Amino acid sequence: MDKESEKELVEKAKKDPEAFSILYEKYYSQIFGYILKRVADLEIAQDITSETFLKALKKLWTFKWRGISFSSWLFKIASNEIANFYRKKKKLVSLEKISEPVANSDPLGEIMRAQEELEKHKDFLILQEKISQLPLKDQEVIYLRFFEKKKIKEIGEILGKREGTIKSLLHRAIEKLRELF
Amino acid sequence: MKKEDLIKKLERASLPEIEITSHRERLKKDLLENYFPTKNKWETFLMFRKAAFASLAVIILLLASFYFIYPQYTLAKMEKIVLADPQIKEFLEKGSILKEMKVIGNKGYALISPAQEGELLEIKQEKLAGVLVEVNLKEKRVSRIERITPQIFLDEKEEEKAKEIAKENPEVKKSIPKEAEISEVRSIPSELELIQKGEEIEVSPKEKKATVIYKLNEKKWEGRINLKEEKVEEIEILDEDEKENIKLPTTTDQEELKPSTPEMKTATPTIPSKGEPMMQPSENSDVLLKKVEMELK
Repeated sequence: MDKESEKELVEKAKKDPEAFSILYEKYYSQIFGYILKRVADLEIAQDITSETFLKALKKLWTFKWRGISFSSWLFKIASNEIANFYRKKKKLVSLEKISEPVANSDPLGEIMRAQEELEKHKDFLILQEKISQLPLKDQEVIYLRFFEKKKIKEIGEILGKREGTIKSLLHRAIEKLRELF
Repeated sequence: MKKEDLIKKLERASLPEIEITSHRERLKKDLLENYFPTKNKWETFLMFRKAAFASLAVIILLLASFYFIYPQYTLAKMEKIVLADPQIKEFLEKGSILKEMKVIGNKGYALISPAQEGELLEIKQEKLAGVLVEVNLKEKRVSRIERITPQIFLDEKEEEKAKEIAKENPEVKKSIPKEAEISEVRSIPSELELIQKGEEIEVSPKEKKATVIYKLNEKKWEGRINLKEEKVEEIEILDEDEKENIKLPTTTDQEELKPSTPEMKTATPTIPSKGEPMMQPSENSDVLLKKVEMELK
């Protein structure tokens, strides 16, 4: 999907649930993946993802394609929700607790399998444990740069900072992380 | 660990690619069924914004009407009622003017007073400082006419104050011999104004001025005292053959008259001392004042 088509789709999604579904399907995996890597906990990752999309849906009518792409906007919401979780240790409203499981699904089994899969990535989990000791801003740049493979410009969009600031933030974050090894 | 090694470690880390399909589907269902706005919020906002702007415009218009347009209209209406009254017409024909108007609720008040400050209005051998007119705006008629008599005498406190100012003023000390005594103190009619006090209106003089007469043997001087500003404004010699006015500089005048060279200090207007040539009786006070001003310049 090119930029213009996505722009149109976002405008349509403000009124049309179908259009919103397309955007949701496109970005769910990216957002969930990013949050999971940040928190390394399946249950918390699900809750923060739910919060992120709920907030995105509520704020969609205010979104304007001005200097920030829809993808960056979603990552920004996700980053803020993660920061909120860490800062306030706030109790998340789990949508899973609200809605009934979809018929013919096995959520418990799925989570167990996902947990097993997560534990297989020992190198990542060691890295995640070290990175989580850094300040939130440093964590954000490292995750976005190395695990989400985002460009400096995109990270700037997500964190609302200039490219130069991101570069120096990244440099300092790597230095701090190096000291932990 | 070296920085390069750490970067390599970060770049090559095997990342979990996990997806919980059940969560994805349930979240989507929830969002669309329970949280998707039934009416577009942007449209609602736009509608609200339009309504808000329209309401604001109406409020501004109402306020403008209430505070600017309506009072002007009421005053114009009131002026028409006042000027149409035969008694007021008579006052105006005698040289008075409609000086001020105020509206309080359904009543309007107009002040009719002589055009010149200090003058009195003469109606049927009665001397008046002015007339207060009350207008019933609802019934569109003059409901009351109150005659304001000039305040000739001052109360005790005001009289004492006038005497004190008259004695202590340095220009008076210079111009009038210290043996001269104050023989009379009386009020000078001043320009009137309407003062609103709650729901009532009062007519009050703008300034409080008094005339003080100094006497020494056969010689007389008259001093004009501004009680509000606590100063002597003018001293006049009342002797018939030596009559002259000495206008004392006001605060602003003093600033303007401040001499630029030390020699100019001698040009301060005072009554001529003994031996100095006195003004000719034919020269009036204005001519003397002009002379003093010329010297100062």
